Amino acid sequence: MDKLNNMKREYESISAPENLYTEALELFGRQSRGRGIRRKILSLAAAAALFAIIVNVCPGVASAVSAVPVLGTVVDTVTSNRHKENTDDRPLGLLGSETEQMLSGQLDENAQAVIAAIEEDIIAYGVEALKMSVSSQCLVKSDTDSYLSLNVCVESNLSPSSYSSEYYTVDKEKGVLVGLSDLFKDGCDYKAVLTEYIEKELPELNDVAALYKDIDPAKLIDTTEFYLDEENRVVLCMDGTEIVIPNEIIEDILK
Amino acid sequence: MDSAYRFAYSYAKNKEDAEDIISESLLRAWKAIDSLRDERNMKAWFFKIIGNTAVTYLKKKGAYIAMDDNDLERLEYKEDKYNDYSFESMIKNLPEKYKEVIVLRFFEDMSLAQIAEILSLNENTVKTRLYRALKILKVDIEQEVRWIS
Repeated sequence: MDKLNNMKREYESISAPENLYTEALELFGRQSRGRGIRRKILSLAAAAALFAIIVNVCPGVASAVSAVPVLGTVVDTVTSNRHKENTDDRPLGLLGSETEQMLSGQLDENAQAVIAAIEEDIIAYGVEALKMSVSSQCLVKSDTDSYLSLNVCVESNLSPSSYSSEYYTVDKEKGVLVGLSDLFKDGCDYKAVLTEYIEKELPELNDVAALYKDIDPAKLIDTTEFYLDEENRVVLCMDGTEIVIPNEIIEDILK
Repeated sequence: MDSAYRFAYSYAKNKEDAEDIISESLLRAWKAIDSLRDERNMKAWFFKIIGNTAVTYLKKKGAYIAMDDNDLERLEYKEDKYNDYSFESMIKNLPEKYKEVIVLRFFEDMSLAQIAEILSLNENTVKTRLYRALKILKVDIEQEVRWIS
């Protein structure tokens, strides 16, 4: 057995080059350019990112994969360099199972959007994109007896860097996603009320005013996201600026 | 990464080819990711890809020499060659079909069933190859019989 043990020790002393994975990706890039199959290769790279995301959100899969040297390393590399999702903030346990399932579907749609963005990045930037990062985070904006409001942010450090922010409000009793129109009585012109208030407030919000001055006021609300805060007040979100709508402004038209 | 790289190196016998084999294997793995039914078998699944990739790669380079069983008898009489038990000399001199079972069984601690899956053989063939490989390497088979059964 000593003879085999000696050979095994020698075998185990062999280490893979640390940059092997990076070099492999660069090799894919060179090959694809030479053979005209760049799009196909890039899709495979995107699949790596997708795999990393799946591993991130499924701890069971992660533990299984982590035991595999090559794929574990690939996943670690892609995960640490490319995409991070803060799953700790996912609001599991706050809702009924059906609502959680529905919400999870919504968040997964968001993840699919991230993946699509990654694929576009890779097409645009080649393998260099894999050295860049995209992160996403799910924040609980409020959790009251009636509603749960979430904010899912996606940030990329690509040049130019990008940031997107989506809001989701769930009616906890009905287990459905709520749109702005769902908060108001049928037939009321809530857009006009909100727009009037915003126009009155905008002069005091210089940065936002500059951004929105060319937008048709009638369409302003259609392009605005919202959430409900802990006091069930409507908060309009306009390019990172939040405008809290006082209840006395809309109390007559709220459901 | 080390384990897969070592396995590729055992075919390639040099760093450059081992890296190329791993790169190609990663590409093939992503293409075939849908064929992976059970993540618990991922290591064997990926090693199978590495083995197939290595054989194809080395055949293209004219560096893969398949030996049939008739070569065994001749090898067994080359006593001096296998008195040097270094890993490097083993991978340079032992025929592929014996080298790969030695690496997978003794160095990667894989089961006979896993090796059979990776090499697309039945378990009895794996046992036979292990027996012959140990005989060529002049390892005391009586001591190592537990690894073969």
